Amino acid sequence: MSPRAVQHFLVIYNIPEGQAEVSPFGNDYRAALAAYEDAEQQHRDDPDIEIVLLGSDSAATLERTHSSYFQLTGKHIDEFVARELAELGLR
Amino acid sequence: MDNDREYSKKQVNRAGRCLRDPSVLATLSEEDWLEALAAIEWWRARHAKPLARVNAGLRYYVRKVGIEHPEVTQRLKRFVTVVDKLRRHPSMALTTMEDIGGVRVILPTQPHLDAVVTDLRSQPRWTIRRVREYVEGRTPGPKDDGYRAVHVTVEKDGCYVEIQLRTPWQDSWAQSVEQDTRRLRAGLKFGAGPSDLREYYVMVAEFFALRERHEEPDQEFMEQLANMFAATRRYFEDPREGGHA
Repeated sequence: MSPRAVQHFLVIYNIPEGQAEVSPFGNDYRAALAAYEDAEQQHRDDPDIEIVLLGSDSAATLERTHSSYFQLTGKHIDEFVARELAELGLR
Repeated sequence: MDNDREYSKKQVNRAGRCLRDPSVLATLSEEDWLEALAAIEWWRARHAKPLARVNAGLRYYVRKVGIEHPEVTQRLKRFVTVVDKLRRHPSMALTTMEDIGGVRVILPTQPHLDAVVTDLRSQPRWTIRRVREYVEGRTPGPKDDGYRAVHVTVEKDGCYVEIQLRTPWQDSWAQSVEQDTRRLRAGLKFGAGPSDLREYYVMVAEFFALRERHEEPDQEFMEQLANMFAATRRYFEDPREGGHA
């Protein structure tokens, strides 16, 4: 993959709802950057919103590398520990 | 805002100093505030191209260790976390902040990860500024909060880019803590939050590291983990328990 082929995604994460809104910008990093700056300014004083600009080969890859913005149900370490302790009869 | 304007490193660092210190910030005129903001956004935007080059280049080295579909993603640091970091590190100049541009790589095992780092270190075209191995028996070793990974800071086109390499075990732990830091608003990532919850995460990180090395934790370790698990249930059942510590 060439640097120009990197696909850019703006992620706007609503913390109380635990939901991410992902906007794809293709390989147009200028448009993605402008949207990033606009979104940050718009939500600057909103502690419930987290915004980040990510770039990868696909949305599927960033859902794996930045999974905290997506569903960790069944994958959260606490659930793993719960299962392990249950198997040992410790909970 | 003038999008074509360029700034010197001196101007960028001055802007960083203005935003870091609330007492200076309070004295800034509207014009100076916008100027400082523009300088910082310009510096961050300047990382976009080197970041994409590192992102694309890394995939070659990940494929070399036998990974057909590299899991590599870049991220440009959020404005608010740039300012937070400046405030946590009062002597840091903005232009020396190493992780404005970051690239995360997930590799199947620690040996895969080590092979990529060794390869990068042997390549003259990669300017390695620093390697930090947050892993047992390495330097500096796991972080106090339990975080494990290898971070490689490279210099590309006059910017620093931080590469975070993690195994799936290390990444699951970090992603879970990241999510809980947001959900509980507890600052767990930065050493804040309830002490029992932080101790629980440190122990889970050790548990994961043992599992990753195919080692079995002893009975005493597991009983202690079970006790900490029981003691921290309230944070998972009622997120408000985490508080704004």
